[in-house]
Amino acid sequence: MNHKAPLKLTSLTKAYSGSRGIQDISMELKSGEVFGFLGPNGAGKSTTIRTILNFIKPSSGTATVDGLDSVSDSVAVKNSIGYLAGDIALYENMTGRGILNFLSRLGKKTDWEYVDELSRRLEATLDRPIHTLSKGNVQKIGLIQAFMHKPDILVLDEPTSGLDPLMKQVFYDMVLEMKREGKTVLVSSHDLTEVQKICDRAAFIRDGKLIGIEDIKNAKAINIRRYRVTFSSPPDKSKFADLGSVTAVVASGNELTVTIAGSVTEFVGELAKHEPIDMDEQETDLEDLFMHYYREGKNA
Amino acid sequence: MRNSIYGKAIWDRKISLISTSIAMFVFAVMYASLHKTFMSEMSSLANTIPPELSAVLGDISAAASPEGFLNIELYSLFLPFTVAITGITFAAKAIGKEEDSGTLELLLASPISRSKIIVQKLAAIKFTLVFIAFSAWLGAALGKSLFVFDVNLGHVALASLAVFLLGMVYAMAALAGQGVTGKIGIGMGVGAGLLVLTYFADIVSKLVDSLDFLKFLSPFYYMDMANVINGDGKVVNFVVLLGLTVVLYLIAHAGFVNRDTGV
Repeated sequence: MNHKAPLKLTSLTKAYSGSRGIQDISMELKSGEVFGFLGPNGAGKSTTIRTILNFIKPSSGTATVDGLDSVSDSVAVKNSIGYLAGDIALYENMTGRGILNFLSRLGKKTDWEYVDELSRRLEATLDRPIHTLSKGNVQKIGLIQAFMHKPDILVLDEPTSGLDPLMKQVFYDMVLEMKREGKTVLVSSHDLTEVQKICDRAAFIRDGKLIGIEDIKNAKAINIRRYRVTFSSPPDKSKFADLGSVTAVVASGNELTVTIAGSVTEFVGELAKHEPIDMDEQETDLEDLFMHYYREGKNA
Repeated sequence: MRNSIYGKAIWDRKISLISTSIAMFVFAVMYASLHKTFMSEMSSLANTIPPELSAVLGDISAAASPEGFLNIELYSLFLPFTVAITGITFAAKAIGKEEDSGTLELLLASPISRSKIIVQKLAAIKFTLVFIAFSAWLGAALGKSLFVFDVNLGHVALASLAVFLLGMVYAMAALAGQGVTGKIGIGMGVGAGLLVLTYFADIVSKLVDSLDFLKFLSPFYYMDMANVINGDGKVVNFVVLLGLTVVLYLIAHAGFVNRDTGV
């Protein structure tokens, strides 16, 4: 039985002459885990992933996949990995099915029944040239090629980019199915809501440095939500701002946008006193999370 | 055809490959058909041509023979430049275009080594240049069967081989430029720059006695077309061209295998 970590980064560093790059990233993923990798654009998420895949060589430190070194055992490592690039590029003059065939011939042990199933679920268009497809449809083919060989580890960089909400849900289901099969999934994202939905743990990266790893379900620091509530008349902002769990309140006419860290019990109780007529949850701004993270004194 | 890196690389260039090959084939047939007409005029024409032009065109008086005529019209300049330029553009873009567009990540994320990727690209470049170089031979063969054109097809095949090797030298220079730096422009610049410089080095070495040594720096000297097409080529010259190709390829290989991609 293999007890090696599916994916382990040890002091992984990639130095560039400018300010870009990553410094001393260490983390270890477990089997059957969905692991979020959160950070603003330019934080170093893609650089970390590209180093894991040996597109770029680490300046120091190591990345191992099932105990295999990402540089010296690069080919063997890629047998175990399914990868979706952040801004995926596919061969414009080929069809989706042609690309999947091509990749299969390069060594991905493809389960074609599974490909057909994924194609059906994602409503992917496989028989038209890529250049005729929308960004969302290209992304679906990108997802299929990452999943098509049922890899032990999925490394997905901004996987829901361009997908509509319905297809995002299909993707979440696909990830959770892989998790149930004991596979490991690394999801890079700047969308905190998405990470909260599917991930067990998440690492936070900023300016190329890992600032923390949190258990999603238990961490107050990551449990940040933002709601927009509409009232029949302009509400009293101070009633909400005084609540301990509320970190920010913005009033605009009959609307309030409230950011909450931790439990929503207090907020819901106060809300009930003010006769709201509509409410929706908004994507949490990652900056809110990082600000809160720093306030909590959790700098790594 | 498109289920391998090698096959896809050829398929993606199929239109330019076929059109260039047809052009070379047609030119060879055309020159075969014209040889009888021009044969008698070539000797008198040779006396009127200045040495500077002879350095570029070769020995016009030799064009009285079918091999000499093919050399002057096609194999000394037009076909080598066509093959070299095709090789340079193909090689600079072979990996460079995939790198620029982002599709290289699809290959690199697959369980295949970088060595295999570049070797398959090399094979596609070789196939392309062989196809074009030997299309001219095919044209000469057809011309021989249709017209009064008693050319030695074995010698013409060696001439096509020499052209192919010359093209490979410049293609590998371009592949090395791109392979080491990751930039298509640098690959193109290295290949095209080397082509122009070494061609003029060959010409100048023929015109200026004191600069005769420059010929040794030029792959055109080792192509030695005037002798090869007449069956007097030297094996050592083929070996030099092959050696240059191998050395430049090894630079490209090491550059691509060891550097960061898509940065």
